Amino acid sequence: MTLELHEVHAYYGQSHILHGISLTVGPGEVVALLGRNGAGKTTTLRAIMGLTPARSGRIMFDGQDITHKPTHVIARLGISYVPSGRRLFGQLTVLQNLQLWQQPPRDGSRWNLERVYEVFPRLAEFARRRAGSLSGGEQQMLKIGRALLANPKLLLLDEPTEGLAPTVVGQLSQWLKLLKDAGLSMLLAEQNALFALKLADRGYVLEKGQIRYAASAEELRQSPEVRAYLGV
Amino acid sequence: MVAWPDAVIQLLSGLTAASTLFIVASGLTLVFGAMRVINMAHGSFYMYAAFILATVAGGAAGGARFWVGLGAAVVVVAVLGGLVEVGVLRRTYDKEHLTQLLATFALVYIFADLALQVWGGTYRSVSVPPGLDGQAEVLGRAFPVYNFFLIGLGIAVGAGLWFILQRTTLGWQVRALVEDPELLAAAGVNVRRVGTIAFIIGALLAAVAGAARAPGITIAPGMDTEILVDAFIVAVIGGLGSVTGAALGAIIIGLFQAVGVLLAAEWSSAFTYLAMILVLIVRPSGLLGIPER
Repeated sequence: MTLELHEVHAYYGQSHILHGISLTVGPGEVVALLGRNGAGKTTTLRAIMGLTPARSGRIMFDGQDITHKPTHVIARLGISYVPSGRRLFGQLTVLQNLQLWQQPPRDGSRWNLERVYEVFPRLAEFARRRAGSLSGGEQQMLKIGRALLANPKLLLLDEPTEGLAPTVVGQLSQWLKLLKDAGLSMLLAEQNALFALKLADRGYVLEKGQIRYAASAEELRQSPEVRAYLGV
Repeated sequence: MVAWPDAVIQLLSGLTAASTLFIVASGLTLVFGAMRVINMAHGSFYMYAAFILATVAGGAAGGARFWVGLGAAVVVVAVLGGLVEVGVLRRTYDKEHLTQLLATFALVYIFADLALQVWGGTYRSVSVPPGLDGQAEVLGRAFPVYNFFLIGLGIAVGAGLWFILQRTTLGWQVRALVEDPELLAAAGVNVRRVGTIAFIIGALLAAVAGAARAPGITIAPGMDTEILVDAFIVAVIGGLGSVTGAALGAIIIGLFQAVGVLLAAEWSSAFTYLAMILVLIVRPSGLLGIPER
């Protein structure tokens, strides 16, 4: 699994959001995408998923050009997107939400309902409930659980800590560590830099749609400049 | 006073009308639910099915070919529905609602003119298929056997739709499409395909209703917009997007019309609008509709 972005530009209508983003995520790597609100983190993930297609530049996944592929094709190639906020199908049950994401096992990734239920027993308990009735933490479980059921090679996480209670953030950190140790690659967009850099191997700092810093997680944590910019 | 056996007969007539209304309206509401598109050409699909059936199985002796005609009507209209979705509607999804409305409204005229070219302006009729003809006796009164078939068909279509929407992956995808198309695509689902299938199912429902209702009515130009208005009222009463709501709406309208005929025959169509006004005063989004966010 390798993801490579070369000089990606993306727009919302007329406004130019990404000004030439280049980044890579290697096999088994967890890469943090940091930056303030509006820096372009979400748009970068959306461009990768084909939801806000890149107008120029190139996005390669496992040697394949996915720049102009439709979203569902990108998803089936093995990229699972975990959007921010409460984005789930609230009218469907928890189980139906999970099953909509299910894809056949891929080499090295054998997630199925039983294994997801082992990690998140709550989801088994609430399988027949409407997803819309879940609490914030439970919705987070569902969002990660369903992403795993797609048996992805790469997980794109958008602000997973947003709006979560501190105890749930601690749990989230453990779940993601578990997935990292299992060898899953991740691109983690976060405003909460401390959370992201605890987990990540490397990181990029975005500012106004451009990459300002690129360094190892350790270096980013130490750098006074980065700390000042991110306000940590 | 009305004798109660007559009232029962009137009730059954109301349910017969409700059944057809439900099948048409369920297609309209399903398409709106999945794609947020109001398909004005839905009535055209209904009319085309009746005309196709009349072409295959028209006239007094045509009854034996009824089922072949019904099958042909459903298949042709389903294909037509697919062409409309892929050829016209797909280009309008990223535009405003008015564009979609105008596009489907244009289709109403195009289909109507095309129908005049193909079938002419003459009235046609279709006989009830053998086996379903004749009268049944209900409380000493006669009631057409075919109307029982229509009521049963409505129930069967309702059960079938419920099963598809609640129990199959396609149904979940259709319901998910309403809530968040982007998210559904991110789940690896080809949302365009789901939209096309939902639209074809909608067209198919209009066709089933149009063909099944054809015996006993006059098949003529104009039945497209006539049914559209009724189906639209039913769907709005039930709450646009809700199939269960369409069933409730159809029963309400069917019964209001039946009661209306009994009480004041010349005012019966006013009862339809009265029912709609009453429901919308109490529930502006319809009985089971979800208010727009």
